[in-house]
Amino acid sequence: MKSIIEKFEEKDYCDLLIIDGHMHSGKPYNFFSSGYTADSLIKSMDLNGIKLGCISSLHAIGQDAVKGNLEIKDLVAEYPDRFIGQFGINPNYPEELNCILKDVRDKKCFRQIKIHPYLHNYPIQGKQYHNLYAFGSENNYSLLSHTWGIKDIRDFDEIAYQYPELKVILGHSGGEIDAIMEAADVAQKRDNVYLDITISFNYQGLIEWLVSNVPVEKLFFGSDATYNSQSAALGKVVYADISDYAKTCILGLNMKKLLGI
Amino acid sequence: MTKPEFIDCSCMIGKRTSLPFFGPGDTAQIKSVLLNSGVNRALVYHSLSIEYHPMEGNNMLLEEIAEDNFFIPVWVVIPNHTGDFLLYEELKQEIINNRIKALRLAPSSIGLNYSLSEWSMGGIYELAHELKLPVMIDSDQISWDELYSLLNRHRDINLILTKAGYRSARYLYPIIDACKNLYIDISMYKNHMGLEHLCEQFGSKKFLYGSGMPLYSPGSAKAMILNADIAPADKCNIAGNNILRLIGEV
Repeated sequence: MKSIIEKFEEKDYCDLLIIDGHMHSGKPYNFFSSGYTADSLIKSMDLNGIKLGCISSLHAIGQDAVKGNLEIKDLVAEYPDRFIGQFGINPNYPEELNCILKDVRDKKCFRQIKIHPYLHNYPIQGKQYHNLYAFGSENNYSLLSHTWGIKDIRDFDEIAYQYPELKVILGHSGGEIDAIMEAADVAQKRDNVYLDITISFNYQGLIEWLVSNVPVEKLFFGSDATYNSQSAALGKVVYADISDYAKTCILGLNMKKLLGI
Repeated sequence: MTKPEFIDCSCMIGKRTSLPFFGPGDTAQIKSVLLNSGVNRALVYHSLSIEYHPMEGNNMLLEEIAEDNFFIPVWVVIPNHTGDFLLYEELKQEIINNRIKALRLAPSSIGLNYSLSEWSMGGIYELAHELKLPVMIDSDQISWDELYSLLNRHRDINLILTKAGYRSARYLYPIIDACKNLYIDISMYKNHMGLEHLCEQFGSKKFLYGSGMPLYSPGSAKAMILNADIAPADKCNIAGNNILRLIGEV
């Protein structure tokens, strides 16, 4: 039987399920990324054997959540077998919230929530987000949030405690080293907390450390495309010094289970 | 189809003052990770050269990689006006005798703290020119304007910019276009479909595989080349042929 490295290097992806749990559509706001179109995302997914991508719009984590959610709705309608939609809100425009929640409810294209408290400069414990956590909890939407730094992790530890039915995915696993360590503790402690391994720095040894310190079933592969390269994100998992079982869980099986697909 | 040979152009070996939290902590571990990631050889400099002094660090490098052809030695150099490095002729002989293949600069205040101007580094540039040695520098050691100036003052020296970040395209594109003697290590340029676009704009001969070890995953940059939507010959160039050409091994 071929190892994951062999399958990857031979581009033999047929029995390897890879789901990218952290993707974006649109143009990054402060630097150039050549591959922001839907076709480019699909091309990159095909080159890397990525069957499915959980995707939010950069508009939805930026100024205009309504526009962004519409973009994702159209994208998923065009590629229903390739994308799982994540909707977002801009908590600085509370008047939009009810309309967005009404719009996404029962829409098959949206299966997850994506928030970015840093870009929106809005507290994780803020009222608008609480409305969203309650919605996710009651309607079985898992939540992926950008996290960076130890305070974010501690805030989501509280949120996970307050909303035990809400599945919380800590984006970038907290990003900074001390936050990653804290996130590992929280993921161990809370049944409903998971870690997204997307980090643009692709630290050597991080994946090995996470697998040693967090139940492997709680780790999700992600790339942050269209910011970052999906191949580079895959490489740090494929070549990590962990078992092939752990690699298959991280690359796709865990997200498949979470989404119930 | 020819399988690319991966030659890492951006790797530091040796013990560290402060350990990278997740990464390997000494030369044997670093080599083990590189081998497991399918890296064939690596150009390396020693941590002691940056974190202590190049005299001791460069010698330590030679001790640690002696008889091991996996490693290709790179020396960290400083100007010798203070008398704590080597005179021009001494340095030249040491470089030749020890088959040093490239020089590395670390001029910033968090590095070895010196000026890149001619009044400070003129002798080092002359030596790089005379021995046809490529010169390497991390992107956090030099501003874009300083880099542009250096490249234009010394068009006969090939300069390798290591660890250029994935957000740097708006600086990178015009400087690659303007300076034919600039080469880019892609270890940190993990921009979505970024390698494809760079190759489309500039061809594949300007770009080099680097791991960024011990801090970054060697498999990460390797995968970016393996899965890029570029021709097999371009993959071979970036993986190893370009750096071999720059150090005179092909």
